Amino acid sequence: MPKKSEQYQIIFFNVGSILLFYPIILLIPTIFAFFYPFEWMHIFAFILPSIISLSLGFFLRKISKLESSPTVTVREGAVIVLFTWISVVLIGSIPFVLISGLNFSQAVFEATSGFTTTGLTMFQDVEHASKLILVWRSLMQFIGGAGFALIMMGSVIGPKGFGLYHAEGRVDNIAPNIKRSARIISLIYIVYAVIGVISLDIAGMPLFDAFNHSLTALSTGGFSVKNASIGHYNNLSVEIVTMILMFLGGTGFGVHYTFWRGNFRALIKNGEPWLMISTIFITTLIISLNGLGKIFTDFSEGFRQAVFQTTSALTTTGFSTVDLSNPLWINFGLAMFILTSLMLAGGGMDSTAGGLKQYRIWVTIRVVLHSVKEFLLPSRSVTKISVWKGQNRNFITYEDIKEILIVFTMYFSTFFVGSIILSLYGYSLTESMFEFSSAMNAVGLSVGVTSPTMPLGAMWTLTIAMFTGRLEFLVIIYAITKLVFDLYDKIKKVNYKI
Amino acid sequence: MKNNEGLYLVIIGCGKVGGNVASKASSLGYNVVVIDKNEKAFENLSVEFTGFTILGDATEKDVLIEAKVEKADYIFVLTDDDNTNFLISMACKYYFAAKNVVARVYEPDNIQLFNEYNVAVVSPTVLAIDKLSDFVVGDSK
Repeated sequence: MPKKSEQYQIIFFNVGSILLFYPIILLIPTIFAFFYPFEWMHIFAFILPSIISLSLGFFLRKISKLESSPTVTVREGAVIVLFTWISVVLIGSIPFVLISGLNFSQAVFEATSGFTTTGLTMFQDVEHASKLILVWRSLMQFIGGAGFALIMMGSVIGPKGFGLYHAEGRVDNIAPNIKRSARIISLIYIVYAVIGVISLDIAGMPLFDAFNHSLTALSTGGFSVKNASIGHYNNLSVEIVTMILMFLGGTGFGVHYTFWRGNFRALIKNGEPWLMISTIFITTLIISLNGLGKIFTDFSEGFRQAVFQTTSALTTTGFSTVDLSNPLWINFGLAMFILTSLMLAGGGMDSTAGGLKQYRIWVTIRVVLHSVKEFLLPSRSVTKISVWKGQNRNFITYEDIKEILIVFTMYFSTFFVGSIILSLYGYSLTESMFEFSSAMNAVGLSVGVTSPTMPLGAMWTLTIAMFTGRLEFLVIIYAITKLVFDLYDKIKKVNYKI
Repeated sequence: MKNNEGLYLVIIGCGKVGGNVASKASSLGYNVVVIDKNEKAFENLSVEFTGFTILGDATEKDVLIEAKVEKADYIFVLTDDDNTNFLISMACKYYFAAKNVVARVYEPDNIQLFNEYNVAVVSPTVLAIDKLSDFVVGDSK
């Protein structure tokens, strides 16, 4: 284990590297100023944060005194991830303040919602917002969906950043070399995005909308450039293409790789896609049958609306084709409860989705079935639980079960605490649970709690929920604990000297 | 595509030597797959290792198939038994037509046998003897 001071050198170096590279992303929206020339003065709102990011990155690299990064372990990775996300969100919120005139809390909310691929928004009227801002929102989600560790490993630090990758809540390693894995994942992601733009355009969306929606659907983000989200188009083929994109985004990259390698034997053994498809299908049937006569006039309309909302909730995207803040929907308890639970369940492991992840649920189901089976077997029989993930067959150990238990506990306790906090601000129980689940699991469906005029406390509760939910809680707790302990050690040492 | 990044190594036997070589290769950005039949052995890998580990007996053909031995640029056979190493090296050469197989051989007499079948050899015994002889011979010169 490296010494404390060395650890912090590594941390400064890597955070600095990411900040040096960040302006490249920040400056992409300015390209769109060529298409919308009347917005040219807005590019300064992107140049200013770029300069801040560059100089901060340069400063951090300078004080780290390192030429190249040593291996990053999960210990430093956690702190790097925490600092990176905080600084990226803060710098990324500057354009919102400068162009759209949001205040600090609102801008931070919007940027957090972007990078965590949530999709709750502070904009009441996105159709009249600046085009550059719309591009920036979509881009934030696209980058946040991939994660910074992935980008860093694919380009700058290479295999030494594996600890960082773990710390950002990803464990997939699809090729026997992490740098290649990172490149394969980026390639799959970008190719899907391009295909998404083209097919959405063919399905009947204007090109600019298709570009934004493709990025946010694939990253399971859910920022839309229309006030009524996908419902604005009222076009069946747009809905189908969007659902496919959301599903692709919600499927783990390991599964995608298995598919493109043509390893169908392993593919059908993967539990996640099956679980996702069957969950969507069953819950859709329940909602559309139960809602018949209440909010849907006929079955086909109910099915169409239900399947889109459930897909959007399960893949944690957050597009909607109906207005969920309509009292008709809020009082439809069954649908609200199903959507809230689906949001908690979330998409596939190592995908861009949030939530508990299908893999963990799949393993839990297997463990339960296994314990029943074990009860019936002879007492001395030895059995193992195996679960397919991408091309690999994993054997479930007690370590894995422990990790799942911790994650489940963290999610549910946060969910309860958060819902209570929102209820304290006077929202109804259904609204609080729905909105908090939506924020914590990076979904972005809203029943109307999120608005620029909401109480400041509730706004920050949701911001923190989005931030911690995306990084799966533990990393942040580890990082903060480490920082506090190191600081405590430092103070103690100083005292000794005196 | 013989640039170093695409280099594919299969390392059979993850002891002190195998584990260290695998970690080093992995941190240089090579594709590395490590096979060992003992799960504890993978503790010899450092945090820099980002390749795959396969738990299994490399004398079984299925395990070698899983490791995609036929695509490997180099195969290092590093178990602690000469007989096992010979069997695995032969399997790699004859079933999978592997080009570069390097085996660890403890018994100097066996080196001839490995060479006979075009298997490159690293012998810790011979290396130690040479090194130690240098001290002796160095004195008499």
